[in-house]
Amino acid sequence: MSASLKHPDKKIELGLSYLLRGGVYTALGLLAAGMVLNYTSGQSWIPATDLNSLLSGSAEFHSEPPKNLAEFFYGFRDLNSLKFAQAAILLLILLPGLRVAFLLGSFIRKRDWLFSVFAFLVLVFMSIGTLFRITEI
Amino acid sequence: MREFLSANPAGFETLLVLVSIFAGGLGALLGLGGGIILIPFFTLILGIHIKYAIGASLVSVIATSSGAAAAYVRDRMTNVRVAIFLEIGTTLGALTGVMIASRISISWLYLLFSLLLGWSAYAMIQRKESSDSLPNFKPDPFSDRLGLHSEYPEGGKLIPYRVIHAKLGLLLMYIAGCVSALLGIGSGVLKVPAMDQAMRIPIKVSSSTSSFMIGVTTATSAGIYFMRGDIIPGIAAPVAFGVLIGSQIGSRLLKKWSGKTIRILFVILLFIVAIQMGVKGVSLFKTS
Repeated sequence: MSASLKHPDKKIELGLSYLLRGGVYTALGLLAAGMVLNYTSGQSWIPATDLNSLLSGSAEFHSEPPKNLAEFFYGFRDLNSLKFAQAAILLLILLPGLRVAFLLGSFIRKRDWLFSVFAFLVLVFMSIGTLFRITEI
Repeated sequence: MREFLSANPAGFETLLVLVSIFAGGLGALLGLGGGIILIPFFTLILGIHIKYAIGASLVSVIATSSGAAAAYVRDRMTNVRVAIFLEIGTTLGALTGVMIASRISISWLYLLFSLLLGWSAYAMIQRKESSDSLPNFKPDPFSDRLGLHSEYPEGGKLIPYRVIHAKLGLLLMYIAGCVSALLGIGSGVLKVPAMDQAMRIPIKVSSSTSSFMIGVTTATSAGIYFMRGDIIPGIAAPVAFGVLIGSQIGSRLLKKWSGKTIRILFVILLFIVAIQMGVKGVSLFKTS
């Protein structure tokens, strides 16, 4: 590594950009599909009865998280708009971790060991946060 | 309004999408998550319980971060090396913040950071965008060794810039992560001034690099909220949709608007957050 002002990671940035755009457009597509299903098939991400309660400050809601990937498969097959929304949200939540993992792989391939260690440390701290249920708003 | 929305799920979704487009646009432009707009909107205007407001806000922060980063990385506006280096500080700081939460007087912390943000806003007004892209800073061997210097597009040209005080930047990011975990605020308001003031990174690069970073610390919390069932798709999905669109608009505006405009907008926002934190600190102090 030098004090050069030249952009050092063009290829990595290009790959990262593809990963991010792929994730973002897939999530947007899933959300758009879910919204179209809501408008066309009478489904709703939140029924009117629940909406009334939600807007009254109720804390009684619980959105059952998917137990496995097959749930998404069957949800997509049945055109269930809720599964489209859940898949998009899950993809968005996974994207930051995936981008750090991608950077880790890219730095290792480039034999940039110092930044490989940095990316690895970030992944470790993220994992500790999840394991110990540490929340930051 | 609540009566009307209660009877119209489609109207509720549309309203969330529109507000989220604004939040995502502003967030992408200033390197923030958008929670500063969405949480008060959900809780004060719509009357939604804070738990679900936070869950949807976490999704919005990640969506803003990923949506903006997708554009900024492609346009070479983000400094990925600076981001991954500083993320060590923010993620470790967030872990520390949660561990020391019970031992810290939160009311004093609110007041302290209200003053600090006020001072940051003042310092950011004083700092002018340098017309010289490589001002004569004292060289920083550590930043040189890490290869943090880069260039960013401005007016059809690539402008090179030097990064200094990487160690100080890392320390400030650690504090930013710690404070945001302690106070429950997004850390963009702390990250951008730290990069701008301490590391002398151009404001547009600071903002876009902050956008890139904010998703990482938030993802951990969002995963927990999702698995706990506290992210309600009826709120989070339209919010994510709106924010993803807004972040694309915001990232285009960042390229077009001058650094001075971004700086003024950010300073206004810093003053607002500083006042909010000051008021909250005083009210907590009175009730304790």
